[in-house]
Amino acid sequence: MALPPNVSEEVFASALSEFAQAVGDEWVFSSDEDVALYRDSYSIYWDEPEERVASAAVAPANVEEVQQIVRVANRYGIPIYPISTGRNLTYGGAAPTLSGSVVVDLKRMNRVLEVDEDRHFALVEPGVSYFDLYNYIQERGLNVMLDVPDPGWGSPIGNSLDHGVGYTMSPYRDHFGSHCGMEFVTAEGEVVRTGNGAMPGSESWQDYRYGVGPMIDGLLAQSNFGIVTKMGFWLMPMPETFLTGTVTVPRYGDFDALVKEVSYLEDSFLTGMPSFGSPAARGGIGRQAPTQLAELMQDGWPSVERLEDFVSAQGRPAWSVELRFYGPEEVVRASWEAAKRRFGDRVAGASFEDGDFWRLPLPADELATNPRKAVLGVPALEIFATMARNPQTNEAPLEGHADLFAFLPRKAEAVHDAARMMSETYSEFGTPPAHHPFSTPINFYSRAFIVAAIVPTWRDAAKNAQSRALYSRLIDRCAENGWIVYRTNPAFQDQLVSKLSFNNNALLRFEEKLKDGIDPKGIISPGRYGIWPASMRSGRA
Amino acid sequence: MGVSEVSGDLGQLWYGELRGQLRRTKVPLTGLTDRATLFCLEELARDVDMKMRFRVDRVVEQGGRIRHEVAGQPRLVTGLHDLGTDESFGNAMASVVRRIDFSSSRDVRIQRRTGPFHNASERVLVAWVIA
Repeated sequence: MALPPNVSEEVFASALSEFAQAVGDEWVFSSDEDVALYRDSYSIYWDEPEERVASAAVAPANVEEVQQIVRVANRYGIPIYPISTGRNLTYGGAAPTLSGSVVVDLKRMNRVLEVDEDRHFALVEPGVSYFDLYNYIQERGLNVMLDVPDPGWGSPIGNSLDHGVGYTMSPYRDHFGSHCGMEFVTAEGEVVRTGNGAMPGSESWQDYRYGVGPMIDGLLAQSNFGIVTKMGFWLMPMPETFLTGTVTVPRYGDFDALVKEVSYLEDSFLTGMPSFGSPAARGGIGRQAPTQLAELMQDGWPSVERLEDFVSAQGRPAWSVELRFYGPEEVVRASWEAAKRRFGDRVAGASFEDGDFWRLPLPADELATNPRKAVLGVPALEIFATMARNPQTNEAPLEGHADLFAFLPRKAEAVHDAARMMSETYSEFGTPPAHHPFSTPINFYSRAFIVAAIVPTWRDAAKNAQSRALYSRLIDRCAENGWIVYRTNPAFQDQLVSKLSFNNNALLRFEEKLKDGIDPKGIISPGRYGIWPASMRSGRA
Repeated sequence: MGVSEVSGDLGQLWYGELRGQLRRTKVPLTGLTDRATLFCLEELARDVDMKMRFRVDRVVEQGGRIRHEVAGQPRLVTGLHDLGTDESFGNAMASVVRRIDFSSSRDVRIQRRTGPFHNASERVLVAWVIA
């Protein structure tokens, strides 16, 4: 069994005993086989000494038990690591940032406290998964649509606290951005409610998130200042219909105009999440470049002239974007017509293709076989089966992955620059590059582009060392270009936050002062996103 | 005993049916699935404090020959490397489930949780016991 740092077996046994008094014997897990359940399946240090592993796990059933756990941990100096479902695999899963921490598994706090279909919000506990919330809504026939990540086995609270994202309209697919009000337990065991929840008797906790005074909710995301025990989320009213249409533009150089127009439509709240692609390169997220494109890149990054020639030779449009519309039929059809008019006015040769049109909600039998569940707010795990079977996406063996999402300004030039940097960095490490001049961005966050790098993880230490080197270099290169990597695996969190170096890392120093004041013993998730308690800062990477 | 078929997405079966039943009454699960489905199930089993106890990866090698990779309690593994095909394979697994000692100490190495995207995954079926 792993032990918490600087804690003897005797002291740890006493702490476990007190945890058991708080939650019951059956909810304290300390055997090797039970603790192994909290390993990160995608760990980039699998079976190496540096793999982050827990010493034990404890599963409280309610807020009072969370308070007791925190007080016991404080008394014994035991680091604890709260998880909701612990399934954000590429970002660490259920494993703690600091080895030897006790995982506080919030799976038993699994109540949907409220869903209001008239004011369009939900209030949930951390153990509620997207599947649970979806099923709750379906069983009651409530007239709201979720926004879900893919896969959907995570929890709204855990996902939003790690700045997770979905696939529908912009206000909703930013999951932290669409939260409204939270309750958390401090390191001292106090219960705090934010926003209007701070006023007893308020009925508008999930309507107005600012309350009065500073809004501190952001301190609970990607951090270690408390354990969130309730959280509210705004939901989209169930749209009457869903419609898609695809715009294609003929030339490589048209990407700039395409991007600007999509930004106009998104920022006007006329479309949902756009999906960019490249018919010429048969490209899109996860697609391999065709052989001809690989040949084109043999001599380095091609000039724009060569790329235009390549597009002409392929006989297909250079770029495409699928637009998705939610709302009443007359509105979505009018929005699509307006989009076509605007693209037609601005990009010579733009062409248009109608896509899907569905009345919502879809009947259950149609939904079961619908491959586009995520854009309809329906949680699924199909992505695991799909990716395992698709030779286009996984020609190389892949046992897990560490994702790196670089945040870029919404400019065509930035997308090309990021794709080039990633392609060259992969090549430097002898890894076949997945990026090419037709790589496209992802619009998880409506106001920014993301270019993604999927770095493989393995059950092989030598290969993992190579992957770590590649990942680390990508973080460096992103920072050199001013591109924020918006979340990362615990193995790289210190490196990542070190790049936030404005004014001698003033942001991290401020966070450390808060940590010292709020959690002086540093018991809650020490090291998460680089925020270490004072006693552990000297060993920071 | 309940039997369920899974096609592509384990989510609704787990969240809509299995998890609730297992929270009320914990009983061993056994099945034959691809590795991707099993990977999800291993992760989800933590919801009810259950874990992998025994697995046989049924690997189809070039030429169609079937090889079995067996992992679990040593006394069960012994003698199971030459599992047959077709009906005899199912019979052997049924025998395993009957003979598993759920109270004995368990080997954490069984909890392989190999990611779903392994190159060999597509053609591999796994017979498993989770309890």
